[in-house]
Amino acid sequence: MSWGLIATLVVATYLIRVSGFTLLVNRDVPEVVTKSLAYVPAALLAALVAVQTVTTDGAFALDARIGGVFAAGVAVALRAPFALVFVVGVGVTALLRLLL
Amino acid sequence: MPASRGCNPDAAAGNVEPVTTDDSSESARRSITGQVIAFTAVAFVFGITFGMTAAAGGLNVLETLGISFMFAGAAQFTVVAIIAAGGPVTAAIAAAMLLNARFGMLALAVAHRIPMSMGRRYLAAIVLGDPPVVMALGERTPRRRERVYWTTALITAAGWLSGTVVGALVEGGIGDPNVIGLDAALPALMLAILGQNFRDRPNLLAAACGAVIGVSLVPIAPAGLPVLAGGLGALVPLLMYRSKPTVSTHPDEVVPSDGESSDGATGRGGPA
Repeated sequence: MSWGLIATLVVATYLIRVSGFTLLVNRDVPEVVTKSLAYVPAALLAALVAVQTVTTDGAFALDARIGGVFAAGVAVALRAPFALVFVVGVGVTALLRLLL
Repeated sequence: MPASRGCNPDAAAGNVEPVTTDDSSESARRSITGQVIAFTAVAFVFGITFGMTAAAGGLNVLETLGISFMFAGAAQFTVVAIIAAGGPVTAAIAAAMLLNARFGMLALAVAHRIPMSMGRRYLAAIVLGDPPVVMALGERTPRRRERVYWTTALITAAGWLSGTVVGALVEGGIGDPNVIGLDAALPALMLAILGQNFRDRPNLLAAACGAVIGVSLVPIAPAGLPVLAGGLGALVPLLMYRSKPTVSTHPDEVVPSDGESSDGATGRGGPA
């Protein structure tokens, strides 16, 4: 892979991040904008979790992960501690994969 | 400060979360350590799988390490796959940027909640990822937010880079880590953190809508777009709760005036 491509990818990715991280800082931002952004982290990360759980390489791939992440979700709902949620998610996935 | 505008009877009733300074609480610190370790371990193992994939795709160790400075797992795997398959460079760049666009959206949404001087922002953006952001948002005081951001970002980044190198060097030496459920590790970690920091109803609603939007777009949109569009789920609670004033979310609205202020801001204590 050419270094030109690598540098382009690294720099372009950085520009995406840095523009978001600086654009609205130290600026008068209309309230409607800050309000609209308030719940973006939750929505974005939940979308990420959901999409990651049901896809491989951008296409649907339904497998043991779904059971594992669902079990982790149940653990979260029951207010299980962080480590337990993680172990449940990974463990149930591995177990299902072994059995299926 | 918009947060203290008087339209919130809950505040008077004491329903607002007490802003305790659990800074030095031993248990809080320990749980953060555990979470950072978990994210770093996952980043390290994923780094290994990326290094192996890149090596299999014909990249040498230095190239593999170089591309890992994107700090963007999904995009990196995609680029390697496209290039290894002989695809055009432009397609690789476009696909990667579409996958990485969500970092921009996340950064935009959290920038004012993670106080930091402008100079540091330019550095912090290099390693901006989901773990440092969600870990930082879980903190109450501006100073702790910045500290937790840096700690999480740098340690997980180091885990990612070193994992990458290990993976590129061992070249297929470790088996398929998905057998032990690794592909569920990242979603499970994120879920655990989300469940911890976004329990209030508007956030849960936004999360549910984001997940539904994301998944439903998978069959029709190119990779990256479904997650990005999922961010629009954030608008649903705004529409739903418009009539009633929103339950004040976090003590977030303590907007940092940037620069030196991060230290002084810790003295802000509770709404006494």
